[in-house]
Amino acid sequence: MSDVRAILDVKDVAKTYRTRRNGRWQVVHAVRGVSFRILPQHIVALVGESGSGKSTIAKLVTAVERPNQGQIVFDGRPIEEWRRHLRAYRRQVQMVFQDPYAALNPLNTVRYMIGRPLINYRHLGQDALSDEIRRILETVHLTPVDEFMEKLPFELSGGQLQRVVTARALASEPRLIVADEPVSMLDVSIRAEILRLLDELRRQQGVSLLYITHDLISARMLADEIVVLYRGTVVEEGAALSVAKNPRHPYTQLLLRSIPNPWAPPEETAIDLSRIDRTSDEGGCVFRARCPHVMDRCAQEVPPLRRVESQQVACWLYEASGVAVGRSDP
Amino acid sequence: MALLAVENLRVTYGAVEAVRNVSFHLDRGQILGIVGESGSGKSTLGYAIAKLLRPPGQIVGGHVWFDGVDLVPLSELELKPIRWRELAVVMQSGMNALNPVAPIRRQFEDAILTHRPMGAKAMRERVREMLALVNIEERYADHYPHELSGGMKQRVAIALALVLEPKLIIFDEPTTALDVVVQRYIVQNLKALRERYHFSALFISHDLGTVLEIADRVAVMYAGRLVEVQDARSLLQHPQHPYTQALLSCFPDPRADHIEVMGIPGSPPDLADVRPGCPFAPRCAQIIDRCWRETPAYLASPDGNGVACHMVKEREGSAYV
Ligand SMILES: Nc1ncnc2c1ncn2[C@@H]1O[C@H](COP(=O)(O)OP(=O)(O)O)[C@@H](O)[C@H]1O
Ligand SMILES: Nc1ncnc2c1ncn2[C@@H]1O[C@H](COP(=O)(O)OP(=O)(O)O)[C@@H](O)[C@H]1O
Ligand SMILES: [Mg+2]
Ligand SMILES: [Mg+2]
Repeated sequence: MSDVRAILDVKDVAKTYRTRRNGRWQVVHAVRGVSFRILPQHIVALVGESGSGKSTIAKLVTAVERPNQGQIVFDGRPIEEWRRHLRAYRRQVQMVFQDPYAALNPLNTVRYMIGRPLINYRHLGQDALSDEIRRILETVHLTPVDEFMEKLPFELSGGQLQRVVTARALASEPRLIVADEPVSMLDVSIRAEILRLLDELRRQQGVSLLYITHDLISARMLADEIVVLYRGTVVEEGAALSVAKNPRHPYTQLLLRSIPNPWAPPEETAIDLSRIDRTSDEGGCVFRARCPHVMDRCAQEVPPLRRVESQQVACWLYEASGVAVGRSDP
Repeated sequence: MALLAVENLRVTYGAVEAVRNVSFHLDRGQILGIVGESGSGKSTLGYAIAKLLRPPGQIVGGHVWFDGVDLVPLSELELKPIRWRELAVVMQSGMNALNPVAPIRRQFEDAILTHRPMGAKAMRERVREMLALVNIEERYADHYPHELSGGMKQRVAIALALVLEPKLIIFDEPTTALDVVVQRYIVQNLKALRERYHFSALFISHDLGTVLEIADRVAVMYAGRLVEVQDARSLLQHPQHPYTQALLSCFPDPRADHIEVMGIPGSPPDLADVRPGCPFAPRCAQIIDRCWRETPAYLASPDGNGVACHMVKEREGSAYV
């Protein structure tokens, strides 16, 4: 893993927000010491329920927010250095959001929306511009291209709009795309096409992808690796197939059990209904209040990530079998 | 007699016909799932049955027989004793299902006092009991909706629908926009509540996986029409309509060794442009000539199952009449 230089290296990053709740200031630990890396042309999925810190990580990676702790390294340079070359950074690290309707100006044509980053970042002239717009639209399968060039957002379906958003992200020739729930708002029937498109981009255009989702199945289909987040903490990570099929952490197991599954007998998907609203106090394992296997130790110490077979799991259940994994910086 | 029998129901929004000649029935104690992609007319159908359509939406034909009474011609005043007491609606979470300016307890009390008054002590006990059904501690009764998580709000909405023990509950996307664990919770909880309260339900959702878990029977909608109705179990094993088959393939078994989802290329038709032929034809992998010319009729068999597809008809011959 350390032979190839990661395109993105997120090292022990934390982010807190101060918010006012019921008249009192509170500290929200949105992200608590998260580390992961993305190799060139790889897809890493960040999986977690709402509030687990996924979008905060997206904002940290795209330099919209600054971490309180830790470091993010893109292409060998810390993001703090990139901040002095923010334009160059933004060109290489593009973002695709959940809601394509909100992401696109309703008054702009497809041609204009794809053309603008081509002019801004790549300074293309008129002739080259048209050709490049066509090429990009073909890449995202908005064909026949001539039909789509002059269209306005309201004339396109949700799936087509998300292709336009993806095309716009591609226009600057990024090396990393951060896609925050890019298919969550789309009908299940058209999600597959967008996921295939993202996979194609990685294979054919060589971009790396941080795929953010709450859906373990789509993560498994698209990503090489899955990083599971719970309340700002990585609880499990590893090869996508093994995490999604054979999860070790009780939280990932709960996620898998919860996926609609009419094929399984009900007892295989049944969960404990009484723990659902519980949240753990600070300190110890973040999942312990909802964990069916909770032990005394879980309240006392934060479990470190340990290697359990092919995965890394932060859970005291595996203390005997697991081998603690330290991060060695390259 | 079925608890609910919808007969040739048609709903329009101006020139757009969003529900097109829909017929089905729901037996007592059953849950009927209604699935389809967004825009297929599921919510419109649910609201029409509950007589909650807002202009320009209006019922332009058909009947909604509820416990033997046609709701279609009834006035607001005539509907009042039926709403909530007999027929309750639970809307998508985050929608205006709960009154944002009243504490949870007040919303239960208002419902009880309007429809089935009781003393203060009994009422307090009733609220506690209803919240307990959805695993919400009594202290939350004095909270406002915005102080609860999305999942808790949805569970309160379910408890609130149940408080008068209606015969029929219409759920419109009750699990959409909730986290997957909360979705699982709601499905499991609803099954248990049904055992106890014996209500019937329409469970509207775009999520066929969830619908197949909770429903006894499933109605599949496409472009304002029913294209297939079957028992959940047989639909899972032998989906008839090519659209049902395609939709089902979008929900893989999460335990499978190999998962590949092809999706359904293209998108549903614009309801405003009326063309001849089967509305699914442009996306269908099994078309014959006739599909472009003639809209297939929805043919029901005596057991209440049905399908609207030329191909199926050719294959099955006389099974559907
Ligand atoms: N700007 C902000 N101010 C205060 N709290 C925030 C802010 N952004 C996120 N949070 C909080 O941080 C946590 C993680 O949020 P987020 O990263 O959006 O999670 P996710 O994308 O996984 O749903 C949540 O508890 C959220 O309320
Ligand atoms: N208030 C409205 N005014 C005009 N058209 C509407 C309105 N509500 C829904 N429609 C149309 O009716 C069709 C069905 O919508 P809906 O019942 O909401 O579908 P679903 O619930 O299956 O997503 C859609 O094509 C939509 O555009
Ligand atoms: Mg988010
Ligand atoms: Mg709807």
